[in-house]
Amino acid sequence: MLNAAYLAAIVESSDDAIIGKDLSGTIQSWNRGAEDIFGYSPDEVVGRSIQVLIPPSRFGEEDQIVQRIRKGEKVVHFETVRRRKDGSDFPVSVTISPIRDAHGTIVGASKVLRDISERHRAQKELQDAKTSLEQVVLERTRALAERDLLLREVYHRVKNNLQVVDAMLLMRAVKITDPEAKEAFSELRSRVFALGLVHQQLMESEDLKTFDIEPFLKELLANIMGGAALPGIKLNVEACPLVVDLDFAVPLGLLVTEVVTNSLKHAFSDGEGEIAVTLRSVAGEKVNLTVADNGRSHAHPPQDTPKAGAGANIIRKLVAQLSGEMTVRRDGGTTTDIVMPLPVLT
Amino acid sequence: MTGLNPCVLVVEDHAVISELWCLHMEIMGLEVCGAATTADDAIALAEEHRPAIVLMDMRLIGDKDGVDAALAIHDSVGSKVIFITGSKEPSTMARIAEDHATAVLIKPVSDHLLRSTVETVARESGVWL
Repeated sequence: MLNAAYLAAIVESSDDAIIGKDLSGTIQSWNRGAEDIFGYSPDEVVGRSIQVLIPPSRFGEEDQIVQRIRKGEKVVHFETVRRRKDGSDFPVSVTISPIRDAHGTIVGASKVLRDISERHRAQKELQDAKTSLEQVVLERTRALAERDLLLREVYHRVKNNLQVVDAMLLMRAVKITDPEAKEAFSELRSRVFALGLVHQQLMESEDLKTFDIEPFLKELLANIMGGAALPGIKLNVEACPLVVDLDFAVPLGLLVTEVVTNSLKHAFSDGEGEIAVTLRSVAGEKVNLTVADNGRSHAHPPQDTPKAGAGANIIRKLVAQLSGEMTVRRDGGTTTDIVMPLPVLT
Repeated sequence: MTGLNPCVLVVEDHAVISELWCLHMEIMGLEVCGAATTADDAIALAEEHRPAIVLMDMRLIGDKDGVDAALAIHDSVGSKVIFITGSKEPSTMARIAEDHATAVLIKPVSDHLLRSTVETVARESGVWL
């Protein structure tokens, strides 16, 4: 059996405030921890009401605790606020247990209080840090959304302006009777359409930067075929799924437009035939574009006239822009084969 | 729908694009009964001319958009509405879905797609004989 002095030494050495009080709420004992936490010496508080430690707004709380103690209940880690000698309030965690006499009658209560200011401060700091982080994330998200909106608007306007250019070309073209000039306007419109289509695809893409080439190629070629109005010529498009960006799609779109337009212009004197456009990925490193027609063999386009040479120049430069290599085979038709590196997406 | 006239109403706020649609209709031999740039004008012109087909832009001058105009025209006139929109964004498409659009075309619209769409709608309307 431990003696009273031994127990008192344990109580005295605790960092927590350990306070004894009777059922009327009068402080009976006051340890060193209580002195450190509240700032009162034992002389100043023993014999006074426990209310001296409680902010008036919390008096009701104490009444409820006393009721529970009287019933023999224990209150564990109850978090509340207490008041120091200097009048400042601070957060505490309190455990209150009934004290019984030798007959088991409840005669008072022991209060063990721990100052949890530090924990509260840490919690608040954590909460503040979390709140400011959430704020930063929110701002970034908003900035990104604004950027997306702006980018989409830019694509939208570029696209609409290209449609305006196309409209003006058509308005001028309908007044032209010279077939060669009409054809020139029609070719110009195909090129403008290719540029507009790139921006349409970009605007609809999720990241606003890249899109799949396959639907783009199909729509591009459908427009060229529609414009050519040559029902006897069949078009076959086969494309592998390939994610491209603006830097790749613009020269590729223009290149396909030029080469296919050449075939339509030069290969089919009787208006009958087939054009096959194929885009394949080669060994996961290169892209192979093939445009093959089964019409009469033609150069690319015939290089004997200066105006045709301009088209050939554009094709050569577009191939170079794509860092590609071009070979043209003429055997019962013309096959243009272009091998280029896969697009490097940044 | 009875009581519709064999003509097309063009609703587009951009002058040159509006002219482009009118030109296409002319090339196709279809009469354009009017060209509006606002939803209110579009509704007024539709009620006056009762066109079988309306070419409707999504973005218009003023507070109301193409869907506002199309809904009103659907109720009071019953024209077939072909939407021509600059964007296929989900918000725009959801807005168009509120109406009874006969077709939706996305700019840039190729000549052949516009003409074949109008041709189909014109044929199905039964207004042109």
